[in-house]
Amino acid sequence: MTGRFWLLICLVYGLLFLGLIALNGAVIALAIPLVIYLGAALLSTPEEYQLEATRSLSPDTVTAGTEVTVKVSVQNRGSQTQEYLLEDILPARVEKVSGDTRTLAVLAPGEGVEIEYSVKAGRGGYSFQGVRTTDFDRFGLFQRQATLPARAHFLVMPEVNRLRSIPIQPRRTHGFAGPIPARRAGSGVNFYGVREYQLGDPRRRINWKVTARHFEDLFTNELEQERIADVGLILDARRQCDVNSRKDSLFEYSVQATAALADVFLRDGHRVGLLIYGRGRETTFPGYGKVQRSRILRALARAQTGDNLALESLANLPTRFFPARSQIVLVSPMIPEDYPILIRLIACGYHLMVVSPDPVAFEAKEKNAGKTLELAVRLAHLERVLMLRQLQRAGVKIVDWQVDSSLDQALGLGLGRATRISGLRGG
Amino acid sequence: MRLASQVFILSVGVATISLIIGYGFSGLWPVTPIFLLLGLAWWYMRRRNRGGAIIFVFLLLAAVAGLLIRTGAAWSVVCLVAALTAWDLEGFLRLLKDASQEEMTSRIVTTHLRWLLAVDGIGLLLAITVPLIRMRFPLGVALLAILILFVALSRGIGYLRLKT
Repeated sequence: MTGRFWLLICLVYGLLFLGLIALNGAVIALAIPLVIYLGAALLSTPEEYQLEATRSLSPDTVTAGTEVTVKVSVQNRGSQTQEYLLEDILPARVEKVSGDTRTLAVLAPGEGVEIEYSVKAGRGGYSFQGVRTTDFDRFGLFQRQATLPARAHFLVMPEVNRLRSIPIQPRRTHGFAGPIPARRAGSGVNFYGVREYQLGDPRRRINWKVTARHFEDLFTNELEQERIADVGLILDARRQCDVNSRKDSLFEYSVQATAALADVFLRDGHRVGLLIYGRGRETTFPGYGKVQRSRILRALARAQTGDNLALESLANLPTRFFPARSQIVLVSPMIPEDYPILIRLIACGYHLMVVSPDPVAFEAKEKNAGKTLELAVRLAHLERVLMLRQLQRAGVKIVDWQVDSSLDQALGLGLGRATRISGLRGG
Repeated sequence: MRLASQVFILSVGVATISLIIGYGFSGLWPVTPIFLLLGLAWWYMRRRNRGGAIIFVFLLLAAVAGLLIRTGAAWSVVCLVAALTAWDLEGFLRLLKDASQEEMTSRIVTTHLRWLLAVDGIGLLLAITVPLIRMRFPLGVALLAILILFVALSRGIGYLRLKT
């Protein structure tokens, strides 16, 4: 029953009461049209409806900012013609771009109506649950609401920025050809060394200068094998490491960086796995190629920060997930407590790279400038630089990423610097 | 939708004019501008998408007052039926905003107007003819009949509340 019904009832009672007090039959007779109106509404009250809703989304996997077309078809499977107000319920954080999510329809038995509109949303997985139906009598005095199930899901993948090839040198490589110099002679393109000629060596590989210096011996050039490696990506999804601003969060940048890294490593032919560490330990087992890229992007689309007491520190990283002596790339803003765990990873034989979106600069950008803030930012920045330097000295490749600049640029700078430091240590 | 809007304006006009004529012919011309203002206010509120239930109640009270001061029962009944139509159409037009398909909209409007016309016709006819039937009841019987009516209405409402 709606407010309109109660207003009419009050008026009918009022007229009856007034007519009785005034002993005026004409006043009571004034209530007749209202009573007939009520009666007609009552006669046309909706019966139990039998509606069926189906939903289709096109496409159901998109990148951020791309529109998804939603089509909801509602069919009347009952035996009565009825008026319905149909309203599709949008999932949280989904924004309607065009079209209508509501429609008023009169559906005869077997007849249907279609609602079509487009939506867009940020990275994530979204589920449509159902269509809210309101059916009412002819005059809108009685109405009933229900939700018709019409479930569908769509995924908004993270944005993948194309990066240039990243040089990595894990201690263990696979037997297949790839971009990593394997420190072994074999088929490749780079010069590796010179050895004595063996039967079957191609003539164009003979090193004539070395041969000329030796009597009756032939020497051939050896080339360095280039192979692929195992790359384990770890996305830090611990809530304590995330920084939220009014518009976005640092975690979104971490997700974008992980997506871009997965893309570049898979493009180079490596076997890539993903671990999202935070709310739980969500894993995507290592694999190659486009299918693996799609798996990783799907996992990243659903990635969210979360609290988990057991996973507050990186101490519970499931190292068995990553093959021994493989390359690990950790994408994390980092906290000082992570330092000893990363050192332990290095000690276990992993080759570690840390891509660290700078939380200090990200947070400072949002705050109002002031002397105290400036001092606080400087202190936090110093603490961070100190931690990163300590890691760098331990042999971790560090990419300190100011999220304002491109990741490609940061990788270029960070890896170049790391190489120089490694070179100095080696020298 | 346009047809429903036109019928709404027509109903407001009829409700207002019937009151003006009823009160005017009874020599109460100074009161009539109030009804004109009420009609205009309702039209304005509809344009602003605001509910005009309060105007409906005022018009109904004016119709009752007209009956009590004997301005002519027919004018009051016409006013009430027209005001009821306008009030119904106002709610209907608000609902109709959600109808996105043209063909569906015209079907809904036609069906609704047909029902409304039937209800108005029967209501108008009964409200005018019933007072013409003269029957004399003793006071006790009349009171009992009214009591039964009240109880029946209350039970009916109770039943509806349970049902919905």
